[in-house]
Amino acid sequence: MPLFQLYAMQTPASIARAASDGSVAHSIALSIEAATITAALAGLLGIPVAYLLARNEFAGKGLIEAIIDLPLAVPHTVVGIALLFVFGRTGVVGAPVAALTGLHFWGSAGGVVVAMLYVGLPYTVGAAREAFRTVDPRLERVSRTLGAGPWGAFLRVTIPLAWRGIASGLTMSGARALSEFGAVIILAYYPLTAPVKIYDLFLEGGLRDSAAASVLFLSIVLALFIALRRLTAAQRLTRRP
Amino acid sequence: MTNAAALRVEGLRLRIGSFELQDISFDLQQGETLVILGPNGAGKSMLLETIAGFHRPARGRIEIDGREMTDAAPEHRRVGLMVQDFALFPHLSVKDNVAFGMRRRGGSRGRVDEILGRFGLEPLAHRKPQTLSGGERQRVALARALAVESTLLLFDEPFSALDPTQREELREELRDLLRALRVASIYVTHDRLEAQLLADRVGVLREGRLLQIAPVDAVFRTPADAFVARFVGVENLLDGRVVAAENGRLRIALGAAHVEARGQSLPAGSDVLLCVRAEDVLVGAEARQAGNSLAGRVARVREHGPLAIVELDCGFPLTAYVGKRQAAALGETSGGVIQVGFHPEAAHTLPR
Repeated sequence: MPLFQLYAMQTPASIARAASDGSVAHSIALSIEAATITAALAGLLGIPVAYLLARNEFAGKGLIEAIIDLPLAVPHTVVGIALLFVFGRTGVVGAPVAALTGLHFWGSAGGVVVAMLYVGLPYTVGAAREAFRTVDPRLERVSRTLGAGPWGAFLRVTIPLAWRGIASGLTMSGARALSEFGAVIILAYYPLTAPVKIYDLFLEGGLRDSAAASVLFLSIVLALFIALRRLTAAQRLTRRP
Repeated sequence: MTNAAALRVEGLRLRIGSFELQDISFDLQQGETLVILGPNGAGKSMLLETIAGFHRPARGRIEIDGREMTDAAPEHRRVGLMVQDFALFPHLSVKDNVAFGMRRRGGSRGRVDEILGRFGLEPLAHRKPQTLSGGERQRVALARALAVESTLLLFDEPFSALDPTQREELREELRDLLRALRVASIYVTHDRLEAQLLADRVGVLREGRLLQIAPVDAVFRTPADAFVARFVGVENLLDGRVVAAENGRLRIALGAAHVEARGQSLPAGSDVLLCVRAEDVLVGAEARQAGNSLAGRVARVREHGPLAIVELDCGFPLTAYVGKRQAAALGETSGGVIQVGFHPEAAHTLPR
């Protein structure tokens, strides 16, 4: 309902004006780029963790699962502040990394990705873990006896069977990353992602400019998700006999 | 195929959680089918998984087809694993399932087709496993395991999720396939009918210990102890006492009656358990030539599939299986006294 109202308020001219504002277009592009990188990193980090959680029982597993889910429950401004302590100018990771490599997480795209990853990762871990649990471990064992090594079994049996769940987790992580505001604004602020830019416009130009930029952002994201959905659906179809 | 044993297990020990295998040793000859029989929790699946390479034994040695494999990874053992519902890869066609392991081992397209042909699977080559019948799945799983030249097949209760009719059908088919393929196999189950049908030899496993391993008939007729006797379904387990031992036979008192039985020489006065299978108990005219011939009162006649179970009172309880027609005649004499007996060779004595 509120989203429809938002759309109804806009004219093609206002949207075109927002689109022609280089800084708006730039922020949207940055959001999409950073979210894509976030989804990729979420896959790289989250899929192995999800697999370990799905297949193993160990002491402290419940605690680890709770910690992974925690960012979902913590206000994102709090996440941002907490991240500052780790990745900030004087943070336990931020300071040595800056000293050693010159890279820094404050005011950089790297910081944006860190903030996005922190709030986005739980979705990939959660969805992939559930997807892995639906894969019968006996299939993996049988594949081992057929000559597949541990990696072969994982890549040729487990991943193909869990792929739909993993893909939806990655999409969720990406979506969460696109919409993230609180943690990003506190850890990085600059460069401006779309949500931060919209907030900026709201403070400077008021409702009119920020609403136009919002609609533009939403429309692009919507088109992106529809395309993604088509892509995974098409893959599913070609897999059938 | 080599001259070495298909499998040699020596002094195998390991413990995982509450499951434990204790000092398991046995050999499996080429082409032989060994059924490991035991109750749930005996460690049957654990034994198979250890042979397949999924657990590392704490002690002992595993040799497969003459090669030392105790610590080898599963993918290097050439052991085929057949599990419940056969675990065909649901995302692959029949053909791709069969070809799964051949990629690495340099199999050609022609070889896949040859194996599909051998198992009558060409018409199904492009089907997905979900669309196959139980029998077809079984053939695909066997073809898949043999495509990588497995020298040993391990069956982990593959039929446990099937309904009885299907189970019967599939195990008949499996027996024929195993006979034709002559691949060494180990089949674990808690179902003694499956053991009787499939086994050349039977091993009885209880709480991680192999209690007896012998040709199927020996296990069913001369169980090593009371647990084995009960587990293989010996219907008559009779408490007796040795009266005398002579010429390899024992004379045993069962209440007031005396019978002859076979068994190791035991001193007079020893308490024993006498095992007699119900199908070896003879009733009526036949009983007079049985060696041990007794008078028994018919206590009860019950139907049991194509047979009938006759419960008799001979001063001790005795159960016999008889045909339906004979059962009908006995039913009329219920409460009456008839002649019953069993051959001394059919009576196996266990120390108690």
